[in-house]
Amino acid sequence: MIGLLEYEFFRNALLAGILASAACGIVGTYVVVRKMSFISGGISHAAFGGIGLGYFLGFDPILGAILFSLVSALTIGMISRRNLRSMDTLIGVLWATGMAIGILLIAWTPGYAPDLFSYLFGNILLVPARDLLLMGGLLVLIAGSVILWYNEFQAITFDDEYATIENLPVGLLHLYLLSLVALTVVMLIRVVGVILVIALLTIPGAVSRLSTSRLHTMMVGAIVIGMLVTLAGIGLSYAINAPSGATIILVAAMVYGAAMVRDRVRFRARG
Amino acid sequence: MAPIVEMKGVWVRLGGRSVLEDVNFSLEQDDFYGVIGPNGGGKTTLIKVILGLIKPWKGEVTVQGENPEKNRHLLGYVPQYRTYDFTYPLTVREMVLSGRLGLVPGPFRKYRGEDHEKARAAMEMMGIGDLSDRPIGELSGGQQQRAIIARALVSQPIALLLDEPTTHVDPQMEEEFYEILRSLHKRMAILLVTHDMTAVSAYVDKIACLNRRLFTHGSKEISEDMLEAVYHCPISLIAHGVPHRVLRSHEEEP
Repeated sequence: MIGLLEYEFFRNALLAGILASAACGIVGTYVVVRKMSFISGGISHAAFGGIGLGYFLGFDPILGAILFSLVSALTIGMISRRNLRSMDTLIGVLWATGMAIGILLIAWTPGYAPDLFSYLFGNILLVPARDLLLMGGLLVLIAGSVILWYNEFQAITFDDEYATIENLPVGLLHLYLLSLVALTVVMLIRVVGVILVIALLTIPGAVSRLSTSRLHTMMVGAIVIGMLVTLAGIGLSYAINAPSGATIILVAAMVYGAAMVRDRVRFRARG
Repeated sequence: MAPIVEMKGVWVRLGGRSVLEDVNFSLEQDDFYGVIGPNGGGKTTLIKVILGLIKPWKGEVTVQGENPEKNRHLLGYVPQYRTYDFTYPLTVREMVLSGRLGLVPGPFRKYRGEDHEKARAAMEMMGIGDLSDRPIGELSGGQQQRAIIARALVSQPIALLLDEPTTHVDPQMEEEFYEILRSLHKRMAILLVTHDMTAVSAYVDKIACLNRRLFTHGSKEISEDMLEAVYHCPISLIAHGVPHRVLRSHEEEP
């Protein structure tokens, strides 16, 4: 398998996996502690509408995904400040509407959409070099933001009410954090596709959380777990000639299952 | 001196239901004020209105003579225990420090030496100085409650607002807990809302009853009329051992 590294497509795939894992370890930690996985699912499916728009108007679908995921994240963020009761419904509506827009626009696009399947389910072996550049840029933005506003993000995700009475800019920080979730979702679309994003965003964080009690160590753990899972998934998918996105998710799910079982056993042993 | 908190004719409606009706209330500089009332009587709402988290439908609320939003950072808030997610990966020190985040200059807030010092002092005052590196999830209920109070103290507030603070304090620790509040009272005003009125009555200087309407009495005597107006079921309360007048003996009064 070492011989594979001579191929550019395989080196690109590994690099894309590493970049995406780093972003999802950082942002996924917030998604897990703040229980935002349904929100993340909504954002990633809504992004499909942007992919369709890219096809229809003839620009890079990933740019459309950025646009739609950001707009849906900001919509969710602004409405959640007003009325908590209808949040669940709203996310479900955004989720399905985004998908529907994408499907319609692709149907109206003349000709055949060759890599449509890879946007839905991911195909990391097809990541072009220019996408790596975009992913690298997004990772710098995400990591930089979290380093600069670490204390603020911790405050609003632990107890946003207290942050409000401290007169921190809770609304803005919340929207910014959701935007980082949206950008991470875009990075993950290349790796596992819009449908499978939630799993990769939450599993590394959830596993890491079992063995840490600090937010930043949870992030580091999630990054490492995400990279191992992604690289193992890529290698395995190549070895057994299976779709890469689905393989990565199944590897992640197995790691999650094993971690939960181990945690249960440890918990019982402690009494 | 203007009162720290003043409410004039405050009405609050939530979801079409009135939660507070024509509430007039003021918290003075040296008050140790207890507000009792049944669950659902609007106790949490009262505190949230003072903090500007809930806007009144009618009436006026001021903190130090200004809008709550402007001056709420002067208040220390101890929310109800059950509102927390104690599985959040956070140490006691980090939690207490977060009470100073609003005082740290932005846009990228990093804790300074003085913030760490104030946090250490607050943790020591609450008797959790040796727990500062422990995850909040590993603490007992009483220790978690102390951490929440330490976070409220770390910004050196002029008043402390506590919402049902003894829910998770062991009965044998309760007395010690109220002694801590009594010592804090030397430095700041205290407003305590609770449904547990036997415990409160021995420590507070003023008492009011809240069940949508606020019944104040000026002193800490609770009359049978007030209880009846608030609870509508004085007999069951008396059956549970609540005396008609809940008072510390007069000899202890200054």
